[in-house]
Amino acid sequence: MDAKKTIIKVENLNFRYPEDTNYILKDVSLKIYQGEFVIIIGPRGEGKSTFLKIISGLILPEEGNVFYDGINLRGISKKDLMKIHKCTGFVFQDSALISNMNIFDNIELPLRYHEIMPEGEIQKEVEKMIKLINMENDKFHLPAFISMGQQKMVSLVRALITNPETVFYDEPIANLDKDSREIIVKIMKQTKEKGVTSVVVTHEIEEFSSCVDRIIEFRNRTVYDIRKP
Amino acid sequence: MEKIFLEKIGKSFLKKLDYFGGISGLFFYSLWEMLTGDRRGNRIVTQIVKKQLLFTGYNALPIISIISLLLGVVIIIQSVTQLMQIGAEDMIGKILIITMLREFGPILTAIIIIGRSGTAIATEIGNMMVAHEIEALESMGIDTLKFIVFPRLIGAIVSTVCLTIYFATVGIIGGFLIASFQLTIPFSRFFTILFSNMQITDLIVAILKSAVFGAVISIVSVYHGFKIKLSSTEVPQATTKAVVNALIFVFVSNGIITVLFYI
Repeated sequence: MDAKKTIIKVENLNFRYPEDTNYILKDVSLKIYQGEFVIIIGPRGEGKSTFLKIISGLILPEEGNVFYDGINLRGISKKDLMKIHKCTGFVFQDSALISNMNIFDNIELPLRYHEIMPEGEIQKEVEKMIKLINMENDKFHLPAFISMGQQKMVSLVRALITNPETVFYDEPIANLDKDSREIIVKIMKQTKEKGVTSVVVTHEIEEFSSCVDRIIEFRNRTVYDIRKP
Repeated sequence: MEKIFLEKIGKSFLKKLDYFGGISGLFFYSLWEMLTGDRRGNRIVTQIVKKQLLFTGYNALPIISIISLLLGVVIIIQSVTQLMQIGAEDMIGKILIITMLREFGPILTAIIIIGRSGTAIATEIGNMMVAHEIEALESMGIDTLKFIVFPRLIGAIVSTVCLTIYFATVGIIGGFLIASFQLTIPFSRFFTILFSNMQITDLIVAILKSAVFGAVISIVSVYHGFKIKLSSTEVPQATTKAVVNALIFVFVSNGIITVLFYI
């Protein structure tokens, strides 16, 4: 594993929210390698989701260093941060679909904004993704009119449609029905097989037992243990 | 005691400074981003601008029509009947230009836009913040200044300018047509008086005022929307603050522009 390229490197990271006096993360240091499937576990309130947002650049660190592909996120320029976001994907715990856009528009949004491919190809790519999650009949529905499991699946394919090199998953299968879980886990495994780095915050380790490379355990707001499954 | 008092004043001043800094920063950064930023995404941003123009401008036409027409009728009837008694009907043009074009037009249009679109903008963005939709846009590499702020800014500026001109036109022409049932002054004479009193400065001031109001309304509303952090209970509070502050800014900037041009 050490021969692999380090994609994320965290050095002595401390973090607290501006309105909070207590640190939510204390002296966190670790490395994540390219193509790895890493699971982050730990009790609730240990800062796992915050950590995921920091290493993905959604929250910028103020104490310690976080490098993404060699670029320090501390003091990063907006332009560089946008570049990182463009080549990464994030699946939110609560899906975070754009509520006034239908499913189709939600999925095509990153492609259309970044103008990655011609209009005709965008259409085909989105249709392919919709088929992958079996939502052909719901593609013109607004997010409010589909189930939580379907929202999560849409959120997943929206994150994957730009072919990111790293995907961050925040509780991707929590509180979902069996069918949705199966589809999501299957897509996540296929994504890993393509060589995409995956960082997953979850409590359901057994679902990913066949593809996980390392498990990082958070306790007392820091890294408690890093182990192989 | 004095120290505490001064400390309070100082803190309040810094808070206000921070607020003004935030508002102006948001305004200039969004313009800067649009002018100098990545050209990609312009097509989708143009579509959002069109939607904003439709909502803020076109959809406000019925309410603007009713208010301007009724106000026009009242002003025309009141002023013509009074002025004719003292033989000063030539003043009607001046009064209409001052009220409908220079002052009431821009101000009332701005108030209507604050009520319709300012509240909608603050609420929409606030709800997007709570639902992590803004964070999701950032995670996709979508520039929120370009995607969220700029279309609302341009939509509000263009809509306010167009609606102000529309307000004045409907108020004056429509007002006269309705009031003509009561008045003896002929249509041609009315318009001769009106245009002889109109100067290009009046039109420039009306456009300038409404452009400033549009910018102020959108930026203040967007700013308060973005200030919401986690809870949906913050949304109505932020909307109220957006409305109150937008009104204050509109009236202050109205006063400043009037003083600058006419004193």
